[in-house]
Parts: sequence; C-alpha cells; structure tokens
Amino acid sequence: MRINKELSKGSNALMVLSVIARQDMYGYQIVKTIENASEDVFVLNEGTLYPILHALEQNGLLDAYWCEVDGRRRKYYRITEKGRKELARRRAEWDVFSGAVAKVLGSAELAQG
Amino acid sequence: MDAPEFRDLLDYLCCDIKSPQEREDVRAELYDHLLSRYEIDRATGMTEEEAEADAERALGDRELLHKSLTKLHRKTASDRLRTAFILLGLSASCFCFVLSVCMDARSGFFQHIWFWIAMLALPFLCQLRWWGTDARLQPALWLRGGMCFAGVCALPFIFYVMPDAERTTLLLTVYLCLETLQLLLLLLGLCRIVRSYEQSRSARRMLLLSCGLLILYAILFWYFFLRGGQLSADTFSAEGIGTSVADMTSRNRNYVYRLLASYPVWISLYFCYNTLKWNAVRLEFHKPSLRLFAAMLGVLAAAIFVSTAWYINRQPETAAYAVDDAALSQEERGRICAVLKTYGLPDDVLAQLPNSELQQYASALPCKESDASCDYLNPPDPLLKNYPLIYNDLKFHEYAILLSETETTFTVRLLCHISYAENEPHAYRRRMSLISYDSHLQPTDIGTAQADGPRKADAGRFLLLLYENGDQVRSGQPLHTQARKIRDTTHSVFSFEYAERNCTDVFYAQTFAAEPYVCNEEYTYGLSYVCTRFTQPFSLQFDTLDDPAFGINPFQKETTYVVGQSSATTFGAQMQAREYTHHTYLPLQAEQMIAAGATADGGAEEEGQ
Repeated sequence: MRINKELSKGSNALMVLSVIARQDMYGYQIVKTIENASEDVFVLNEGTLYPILHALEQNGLLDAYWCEVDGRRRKYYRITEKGRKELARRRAEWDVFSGAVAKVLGSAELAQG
Repeated sequence: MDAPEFRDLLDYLCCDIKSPQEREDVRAELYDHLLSRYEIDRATGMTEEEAEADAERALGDRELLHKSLTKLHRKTASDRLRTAFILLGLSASCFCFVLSVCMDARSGFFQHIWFWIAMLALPFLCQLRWWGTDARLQPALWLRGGMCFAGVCALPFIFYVMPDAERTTLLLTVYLCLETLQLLLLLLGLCRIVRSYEQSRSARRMLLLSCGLLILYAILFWYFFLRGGQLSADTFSAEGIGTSVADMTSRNRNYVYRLLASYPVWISLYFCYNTLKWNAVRLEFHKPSLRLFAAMLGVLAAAIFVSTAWYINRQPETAAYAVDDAALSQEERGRICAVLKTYGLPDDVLAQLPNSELQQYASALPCKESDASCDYLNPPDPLLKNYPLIYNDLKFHEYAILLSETETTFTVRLLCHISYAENEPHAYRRRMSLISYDSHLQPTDIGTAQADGPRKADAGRFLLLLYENGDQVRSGQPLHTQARKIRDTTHSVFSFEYAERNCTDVFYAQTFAAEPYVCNEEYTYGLSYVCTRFTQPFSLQFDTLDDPAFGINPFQKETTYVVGQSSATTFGAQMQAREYTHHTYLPLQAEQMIAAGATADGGAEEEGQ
C-alpha cells in the first residue's frame, strides 16, 4: 500500500536522519534503504530527497564528504552530533504524535463498534 | 552505448544555483543518483532508452526540484567567505579599539561610542543576512555578538569606575581570551565547510585565504603589541603595554589604526548597498538602466564616504588655534610671558602660546593678571619662595619640570605638587598641549572629571610643552607623550612616557584647577616619575625648590638617580616628603597661612630629625 504524500511529508526528514544515523549513505542508497525498511510502503520521490539532504546539511545536522566510486564522484552523508540530538528530539515528538493518533483512531473505532 | 549524461535535465535543475562550485557539486550528486538508478534499471532488463527515461521520471517533478535547489543554494560559498572576512575585520577593529581605549590619552567614551554601536549592530546584521544558511559559522557569530553586547554594557563601568591600570589589564585579558576563542570557532567552522567541498578549488582557495587572513591578523597583533614594547616577562603589565602602545599611537602609524577602525563603517555601507540591491531584485527592478542608476548611487555613496573619511583623517590631532583666542593686550601678554620665561620657557615657545593659555597661567602666577600694580617684567618672586598660596581658596596649583638632556642630566624643578587625601570630593580639569619645534597643537581638553569618594578623578590640568633643539623631529610629526595616572592612592602618581627619544629639552608644567575644599585628612606631597626607554644612559636629578606654602623645601635635598643603559629600563622614583595630618585649612589670610607654614616647618624639622 502506498502512503499519501501529504501524510508522509512531515516525516521525511526524520526518516532520512534515522537511516543515516545507522551508517554513512549516499542519496540513492538512502532512497532504497527507506523503501526496503518500510517494505515499499514509503517510496520517496527521489527528487524530494536532495532538498531535504541539503537543508539538513546546511543546518548542521548532517555532514557530507565526497568519494570516488567507479570513476565518478559520490557524495556521502553522515550524521553530526547535533543531528543525533535533533533525531532523538524528533523521534520523541513522533512517538507522542503517533501514539496520540492511534488513541484517537482507537476511540473512534470503539464509538463506531 | 556509453552511459547517458542526462545533460538537459541536469542543466535545467542546476541552472539557477549561483555558486559555480555548488552547482558543480549538486550536478555531480544528481548525476550519480540518476546513473545509479539507470544501472539498476538496466540490470533488470530495461533497454537503455527505457532505463534513462525511468531514471529521469523517478526523480519526480523537475520543476519543483529546480525551485527547491535554487532556493536552498541561494547563498553561495562566497557569502560564507564574506562572513569570514567580516568576522576577521571585526576582530581587527576590536583589537584596534582596545588599543586606543587603553592607551590613547585622547580617547574617551564619547569618541568611541559610535564604534561600539557599529560593533553591536554588525554581528546581528551578519546573522540576519546569513541566518540559517550555514550553522557552522553561527557559534563564532554569536560569540562576537555576545562580546559586543557585553562590551557595551560594561563600557560605563570600564570608563568611569575602573582605574586606568586595572582597566588596561582587565580589558586586554578578557578581550584576548574571547578573541582567541572566537577565532578558533571561526576557523573550525571554515574547516568544516571546506571539508564538505572536497576536490573543490574554490574551497581550497577559501581555506588558504582564511589562513592568510589569520596570519595577517597575527602579524598585526605582534606588530602592535610587541614591537617596541618590552619583550620581557612584564610585557603584559600595564607599563609594558603602555610603552609599546604609546609607540604605536604616537607616531604616524596612526593611519593603520584608523584604517582598521573604520572597517565597521565600510561593512555597514556594504550592508546598506546589498539590502537595496536585494530589494531591487525582489521588486524586479532589473532593467539595465535601473542597475546603472543603482551602480551610480553606489559609486556616489562610496565617493562621499571616501572623501569624508579622507577629510576626517586629514584633520590634525587637534583643531587649529589662534594665538589671539582671548582678549589680551600686547602689554599684558608681554608681562605674562616675561614671568613664564623665568620658569624656563624660551621665547619661541612663548610666542606660540595662545592668550587663553597665558591668562590661565597668569592666574596661577604670583602676580595676578588683574593686578595692575604687579610688575611682570620684574617678578618679585620668580622662584615662588613667598608665593601667597591660599589653600582654602585653592584655585590653581602648579608644578613645573624642566628636563634637559644637554649634559645627559635631567633636572626636575618642582614648584608645588599637591595630592588630595582620600575621600575628599574634588573636581579638576586636565588639558594637554603639545608643542614641537616647528608645529604647535592647540591644547586639547581631554576631559573633565569629578570624583566623589575614594576614587581620584583621572584628570587634572596639564600643559605639556615639548620642544627640541635639533632637527631630529621632522616637521609635521608633533611630539606625543602620554600622561596617565597609574595608581589611585593618596598620592597622585603619574607616569610620563616620552615617545620621542631625541627631544633634548622638555618643559612640563601642570596646573590643577580645583574647587575650594577643606582638607581634614592626610595631606601629602608626593612626586613620582617613570622614565622609560631612553636610549642613552642618563641621570635624573630632582632639584626641588622650597615649598611656597610652608617656606621650606619639603624634600630637603637634591637627589640624583642614575639610570641604566637598557632601552627597556623602567625607572621609577617616588619622593614623599612627609605627611601633614589633621590640618584644617579654613579661610585664612595670607599672613595666617604663613603662620600655618611656620607651624608646619617645625613639624617638618622634627620629622627630619
């Protein structure tokens, strides 16, 4: 099942930070990792990934470095200490948010039942 | 078939990214992405055309991506470089400011307030301009802003509460620590930026340029602080820095200070221009004619600024003066000059003294200017032995020092030196004027201060005359010296640092214009001189005259001090005659004062024994 874009929009940065926190990655790898981890539920629009990455880098949450792979330049991203803190904060925020949504949905189902 | 280049797509996506280097980087990154997708598609069995189209399609809405990338990379590496420039410039400016505040006798709160305002505003302008663009430079910016804010808050305290010596030490220590920290943060931020631009020529250039600026900064630091100073352990004592900074501020190197100190003004103008430009772009005023108009406005503003700065910098140290700045007849002038001549002032110096100065001097002389019966040409008491000084109506006290190097001996003639007891409210003014052999500077009023309580006002009235017999001092290079109070005690202790070492004759005279006061506490005579950095060995001879008020020489003797050959020798001598305790000087007539002096004589003799 594909998720509505509007629904996943706010969590894209969180997901990107989360996967990069595990290991340094480049753009395409990030897209694929998210797809695989979500079992193809989240299929990031590849074009939207790079503005997110660049914004995170400019805000100091990510650091970037270049490597040469197969004769072409590849930009890898790694999370900074500031990024880890931000990730923890956003994760906690997300937990609260998702928990609250679940509660609301649960109570609605009960009312219908 | 070779791998596709996705040229059209990449050209479109990156075309509005300003910085060439960033454009190249973004393009390389997107190309790697497209190629990765293309290779996987090909591996799944797609044809080349299908794989290329799929890779482009997977990238999504190209219009949206183009806008996002353009917006994100609106700020370029050159913006960051400008930030670095500004920060380094601010550092240099602060550095100069601290120097000027610490040691320049002519500096003061109001002369520098504009500087502090600029210093406060600029970091915030920097932050507004580049806010959110690059977090890696933010710590340095915030520290700079904090320093300026704290500086402004502490300024009244620094200027009006702290004594000079402590002010100097504290300012320099705190400033240097913060400045070092700020530079480290800046360098760290720049390194982090550069690290994300590997293989970037412009990034390397940026790093090299930054390093170069830091080196330049270090050289400036070395030049101003250490050159000419005492390269010894006490370099950072107040006296050591005073010596080196006096060297800096006293010569025509002032232009370096001025140039650097004007940096914030230049940057402020740049910001104004930039803001106007951005607004113009936003309003789509991009027609060539409008741009030309804006450029002309910029040139005009720059021309106005440059001419203003040039004019200001062309101003002499002090305003021009006229000898006849006060009403004084030639006859009166001649009489006063005749009296002053008996103090050792030569004719050519007297000829340059303005009338107002002469009048002030006349009021301190035995013969009052208003006293028509006084024979100025034959002063009754040139050595002031019977000087009718009335302490309870204290208007002026003066002492004069004649320094002569003709026989490598400095003779100091002390006429009278008053120091105020602690906790005595008093007010006095200080003025200073410098006269060189062939130029005369108008006496500069360097401030009026009033102190109530234990702190002594850092003021007094000075007339400082420096002249020389030879040609060592070139025209247009007036001698400078600095007089500053270095301790707050019951003694007024001043140090005089003669920046020009070749002057052969120095006349120093000082007057205090004080409010009438009653001295109920300790009353002391004191003298202290610190002579620094004379290149030739010399001896200092204190040739004190009798104290006019008490009819005796409070020092009772002549003392000669021999100074070593080292150019870095700091020589200090302090003579304290004695303490007169619990004397109350109430309105008395001259006869009563003489009687009081006679009483004091007895006390002095007893102490002498």
